[in-house]
Amino acid sequence: MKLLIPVVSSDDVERFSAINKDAEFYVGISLAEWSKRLGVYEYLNRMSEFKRTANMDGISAVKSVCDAAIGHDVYVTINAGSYSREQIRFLDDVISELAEAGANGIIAGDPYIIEIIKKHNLKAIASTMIGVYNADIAAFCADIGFDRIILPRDMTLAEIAEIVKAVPHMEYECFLMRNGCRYSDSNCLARHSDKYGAICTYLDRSRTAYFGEEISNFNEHEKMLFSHLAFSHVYQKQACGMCAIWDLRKIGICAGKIVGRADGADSIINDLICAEENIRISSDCDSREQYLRRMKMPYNYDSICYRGCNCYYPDVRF
Amino acid sequence: MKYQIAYSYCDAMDMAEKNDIAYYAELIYVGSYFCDKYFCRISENSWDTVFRKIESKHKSAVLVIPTPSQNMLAQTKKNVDKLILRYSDIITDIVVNDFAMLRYASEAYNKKIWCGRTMSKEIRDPRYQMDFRSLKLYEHISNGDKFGIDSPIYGIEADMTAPLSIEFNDKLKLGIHFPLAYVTFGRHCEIGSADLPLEGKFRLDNPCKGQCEKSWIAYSDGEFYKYGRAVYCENSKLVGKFLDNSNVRIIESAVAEKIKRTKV
Repeated sequence: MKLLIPVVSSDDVERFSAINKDAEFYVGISLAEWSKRLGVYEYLNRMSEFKRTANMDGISAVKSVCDAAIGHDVYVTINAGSYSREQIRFLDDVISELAEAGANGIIAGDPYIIEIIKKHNLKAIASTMIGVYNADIAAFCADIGFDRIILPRDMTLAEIAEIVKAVPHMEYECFLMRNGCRYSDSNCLARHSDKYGAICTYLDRSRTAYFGEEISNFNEHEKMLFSHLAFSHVYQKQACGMCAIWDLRKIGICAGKIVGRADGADSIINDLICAEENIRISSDCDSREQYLRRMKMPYNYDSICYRGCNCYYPDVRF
Repeated sequence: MKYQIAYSYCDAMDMAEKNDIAYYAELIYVGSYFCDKYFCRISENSWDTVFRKIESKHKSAVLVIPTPSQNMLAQTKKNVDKLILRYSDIITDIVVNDFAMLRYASEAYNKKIWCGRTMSKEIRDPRYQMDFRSLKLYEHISNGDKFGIDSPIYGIEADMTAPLSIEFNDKLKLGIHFPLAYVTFGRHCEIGSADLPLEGKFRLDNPCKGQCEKSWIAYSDGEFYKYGRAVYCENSKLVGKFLDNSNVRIIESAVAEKIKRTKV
């Protein structure tokens, strides 16, 4: 299993590839012409709102990453949830330039861009924005030409295994480290940045009131309140899939994704070192139990590992 | 010509079971947009009660199928097959919420097929004043881009939180949800986890007791609501522009009615 790591500069590539020889990299881009023509609410990628924090400025910046990443694949996120026909015509030129710059593939959020990805002979990767929640959707992605699927964060290992078995001639990628999500990438359609922040954290800060048939009952109200507090203040504050690496490898997952395009290289390095070591350990283990005994816990173990709340795959231990 | 009016009991099927169905609607929506667990836990008796009510009022039913998770995929398809077979005379339309189910439903059933609200992926956020928004899926389907699906697609659904700019095609209807637009949803269920201890909460593989029909949350005096797995905002002021358009179907929500009743 390879690691897929976010970068925002060629320096990041050099730092990360020194640690992990097999790494794949992914980048987001911002294009002034796109924003000028289409406005601020038409995203080029899922994290367009994070601007330069999460995105490289223009195709030339991607070229510098590709040049630095010799021997490593570089993928570019074009993963807004939907694009108009006019936008797709624009993207045709963008993807052509990305191919020339040396990119190896496109992480796509809208199945309607598959044609232009394949036209430029790039690898087509289905982003979590496509929401591949079952084997029928995976088969649909395979049929229209995707080469790899990034499975959503909110899936069990059993579900992942079933999908991989049902649609075998496909590469699969799963989440491994950093950011959790209490909703679903493909179905969370509010803005994630700017004045009010992400909708989830906005709701966490909002005043709440509970309604319903049984809510006047003290015990029912108390249960709802506790569930809300757990959901908003405890659950998926960070996320980690280290305990699942042995299972993911056994299932046949080809890449583990470390997210955090907006987080900065320093904060990613600890996760990268830990993930790399655990992949190595897992390859020497014959069983999940053996792996769980030998694996290295994440560097922030003392603050994130409780009751499965920050696990991508809590089904391994809980 | 005037718009068509539909009433949706999706995700609030108890409202249809316990009350008279909306007399003014031409079509009645049943099933779920957001939760495969909800869809699959509706009992045969409940389905039968609701379909018989629809039939007795001489209305048509629209079956709404949520995107199934892998562990509910087989069950969801089995239930859909059974419902279509059993209530074929009552069900006129099917609403799907993913491309795979679109392909399946188009091939398997001779019904009017709609792309449901969760297939339209436009950014929507009532916290910000937005200009006119397009509806890209409508544009693609209108242009015949359907990934090789031969059967016609009858309509596309949308949730408006900003004015909608759309070039209508006479062969493709637009369904607009009213008076609640969904903003986000996911599989981790806060409300369905209420009875579980911390380590069991929000787990995808834990069953629920259907608490979504009994309890819900209002944020900041109704700026947003969480009902079941979905977070909604109000959008009643935005749909007026479309009310004289025969290509439009307004889909009114029983969830909104339920929230309104208990808030008072």
